[in-house]
Amino acid sequence: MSGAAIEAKGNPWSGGTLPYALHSKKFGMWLFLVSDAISFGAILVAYAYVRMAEGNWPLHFSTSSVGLASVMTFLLMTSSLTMMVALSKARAKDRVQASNWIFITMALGLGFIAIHGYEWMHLIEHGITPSSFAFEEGEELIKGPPMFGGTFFLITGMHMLHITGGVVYLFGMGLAYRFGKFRLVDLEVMGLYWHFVDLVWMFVFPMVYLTSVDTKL
Amino acid sequence: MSEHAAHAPAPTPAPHEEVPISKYVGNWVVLLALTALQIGIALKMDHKEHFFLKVVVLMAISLLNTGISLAVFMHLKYERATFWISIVPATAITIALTMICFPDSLRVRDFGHTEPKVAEPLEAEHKAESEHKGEAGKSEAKPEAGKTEAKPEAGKSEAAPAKE
Repeated sequence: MSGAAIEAKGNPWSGGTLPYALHSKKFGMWLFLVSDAISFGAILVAYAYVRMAEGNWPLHFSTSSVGLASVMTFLLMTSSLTMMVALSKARAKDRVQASNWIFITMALGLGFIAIHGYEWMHLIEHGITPSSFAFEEGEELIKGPPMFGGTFFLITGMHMLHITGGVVYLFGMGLAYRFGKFRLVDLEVMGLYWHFVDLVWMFVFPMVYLTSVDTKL
Repeated sequence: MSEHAAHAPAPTPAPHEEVPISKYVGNWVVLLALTALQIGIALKMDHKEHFFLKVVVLMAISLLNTGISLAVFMHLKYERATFWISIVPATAITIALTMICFPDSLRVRDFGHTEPKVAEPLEAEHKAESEHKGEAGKSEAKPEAGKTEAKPEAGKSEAAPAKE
């Protein structure tokens, strides 16, 4: 039986010229996402290691910090939804509406970056930097495990780098798509990337924030 | 492969079936609800008494969130089974394998940064060796059992005291 005949029968294991029946651009993005997922996975496992190894890990996040992080989570999850609306508009061949929804997604990403930046500044002002962990309590300077700052800024920094790259990607694609450049598949590839950064946050948020929250603060 | 098959035009990937927006909205609501549940658990569960349970529950919910996001938002549900079977288990296993070092963190927490001690059998071997030398050379000056002291090997100092 020829490959085409098998394709016609709809056998998912037919192989042939297109075993995955996936556009090459999408396949390329998936390969990148797999490698990125492994990188993030390794970093989060390393974080879990130092988190467990240090008996006196500081519960530095107050409920208000978790509140801010929850708003960030809400923005990212909503941006995933607006991305899907943009793709739906693109399928309906409405370039202007698709572009508008991409810009809304971008605005939500910018909101995430702004809140995260504010949180970083707040932590740095309190003596927590990538290489140290010390904070003032009254007149006393309390030192804690330096790995707190190192791991926190590494994980959230790498994630924020991805978000920033994604915002630039969204802006460029949104603008170009509005004026007739690129096709639906290009938007789908961008959507994959954007959903992935949202997905990574679903692990960063509980591992970094929710396991280090002090409910008394 | 027949000649016909070899020269047949490559089939193009079929476009995805149109998924109604309401389905995405439904998934978004589920994701938000699960995240709210995570926050509730983090704030309500006692940090010291139920730390492990808390972490396990939070991670289980995160995995559920990831599954929903991958299946619906990233459209894996609508791709061929061959595709996601090729990439998802391989990625999951690779990440899981990095956890092989994780139990060591409990050793560091409970016993501190200890350096390896000279193992018992080796010490016995050292004793036997020195006793053998003593017998061959000056049998009168044979050291009493238990007083033979092997020089510590370079880099093998005493274990650091355990952390409190």
